[in-house]
Amino acid sequence: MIEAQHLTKRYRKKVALQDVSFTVETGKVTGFLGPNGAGKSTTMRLMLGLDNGGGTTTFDDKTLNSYHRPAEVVGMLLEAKAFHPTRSARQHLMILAQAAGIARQRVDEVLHEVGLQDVAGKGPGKYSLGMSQRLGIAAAILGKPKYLLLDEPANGLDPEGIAWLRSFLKSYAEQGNGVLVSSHLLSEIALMADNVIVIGKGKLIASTSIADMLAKSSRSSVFVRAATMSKLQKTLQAKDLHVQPQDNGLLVSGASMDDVGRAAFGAGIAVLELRAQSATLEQAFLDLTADSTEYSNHRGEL
Amino acid sequence: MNLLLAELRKIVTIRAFYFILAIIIVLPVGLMALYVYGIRDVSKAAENSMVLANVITNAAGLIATLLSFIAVLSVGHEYRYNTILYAFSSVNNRLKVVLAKLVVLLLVGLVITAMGVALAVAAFYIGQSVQGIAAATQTMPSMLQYGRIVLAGLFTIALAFFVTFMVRSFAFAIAFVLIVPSTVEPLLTLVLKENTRYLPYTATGNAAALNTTVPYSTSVLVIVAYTVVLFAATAFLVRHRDAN
Repeated sequence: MIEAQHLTKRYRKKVALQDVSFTVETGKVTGFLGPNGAGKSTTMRLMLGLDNGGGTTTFDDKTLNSYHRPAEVVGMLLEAKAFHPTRSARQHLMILAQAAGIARQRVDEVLHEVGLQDVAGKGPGKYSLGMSQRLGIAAAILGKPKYLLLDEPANGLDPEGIAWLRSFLKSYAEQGNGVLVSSHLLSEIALMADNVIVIGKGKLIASTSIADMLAKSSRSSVFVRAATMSKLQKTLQAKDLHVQPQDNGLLVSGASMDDVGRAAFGAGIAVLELRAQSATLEQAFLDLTADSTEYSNHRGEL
Repeated sequence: MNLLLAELRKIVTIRAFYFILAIIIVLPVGLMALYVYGIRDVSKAAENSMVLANVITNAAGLIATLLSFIAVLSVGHEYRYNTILYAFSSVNNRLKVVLAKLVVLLLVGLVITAMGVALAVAAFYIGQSVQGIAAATQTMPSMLQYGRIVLAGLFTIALAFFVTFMVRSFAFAIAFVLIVPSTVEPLLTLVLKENTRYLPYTATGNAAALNTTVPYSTSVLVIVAYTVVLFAATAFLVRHRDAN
């Protein structure tokens, strides 16, 4: 398990990250969300010891610099274009493998794994963003690390690439590894992540499971249609529930299906339709970060 | 050892290295050959016993200057392309990266300097033979002089290396290597007078020179002092600054 504790980072007077603590579990993909400038990249850099700041991060109870071969503990992708443009992709990976004491044949394995084997002899300067991301992912998994820290790995990937990344990361986590992945593609995080960490303006907003985050969203609601709508509306309002007419029925927020069903039954109302309307991750994210968006002109609007 | 090999691979897998290597091979050889071919007064040339010593000293100095560009590239590219993130995250102590880079650069520098000097010496003899000059018996540099030439060359490379690590700017480091020895230090002579001997590139030149009024011990001490201070400053900055 990765335990990040009290991560803090200041740039002169500006506090980029303030006392952020969370855990990344093994066997799960953890999504890392936050508005632009929230401090996601800074958090990852602090975790890896690439930035100097406050707090500690332990990987299985040990700091990264206490491992002899850090590349076998954590693989990272922080910048897609972190390579020399004219040095071939294979040489780029050979250098990383050599520096980390990783066997040479692993280079060809990862090139094949990310689908770059046919262009491995070319300089990556002419790669598309998607291909660069694949090279970055190849570098991250070179040491077969137990943990992966990936900053926006889906950027620039085509739909096939995104699907590949999703299944790859899920399967990587299922092998007992831990994956922390940040992304602006919330629908992708919803599909691949088990847990989610949300930060905004350098502060931790939430660290929970996706299911819990969706359930707690104010936009999670229950749709109900009954034979006597006005009576049902009065019954629910009497229970201090927020009720809003919608599509010949009522949208009830702040209550479960059980609550609504029981209330209707108690009032002797025949229920014709009852279903939960879950918030999307995007809606839940916007709810959580409504007050934490630094660079926006439409606060919390979809 | 793995780290040293990785750093060596970094140097030999960029095109700029071969470009500079080609210059190192062609330029000293060409210049030395021209030097010999250009001799007009054959009788005077035949009496000069210090020609070869000068060829060796000048070739080594020129090669060291060109190698300092490889030092700038070696460090500058890491920051320019952000590969320093991988370099630092593959080890548990950033100083290992600094030391590995420095050791590899100095070793590569020694090999290339030896090769370049050998080519320059060969060019000298070939040039003489073509000119039909029977040169005087040449006075070769002593082992101590060779040692100072090597020290000066290695320091020139190390100075560029440390400066690039400290400023983390490719352009600034290139400008430093080009302008400081050729313009800044000569201009400072107007102000510093004899104290110019304490400037890095001037001390390097004095240490490698065959004849100089400045005691060699002073120049060597200045070089050693700069090396220690620059290494300490680089180590401090690398450890305490963000990776890039």
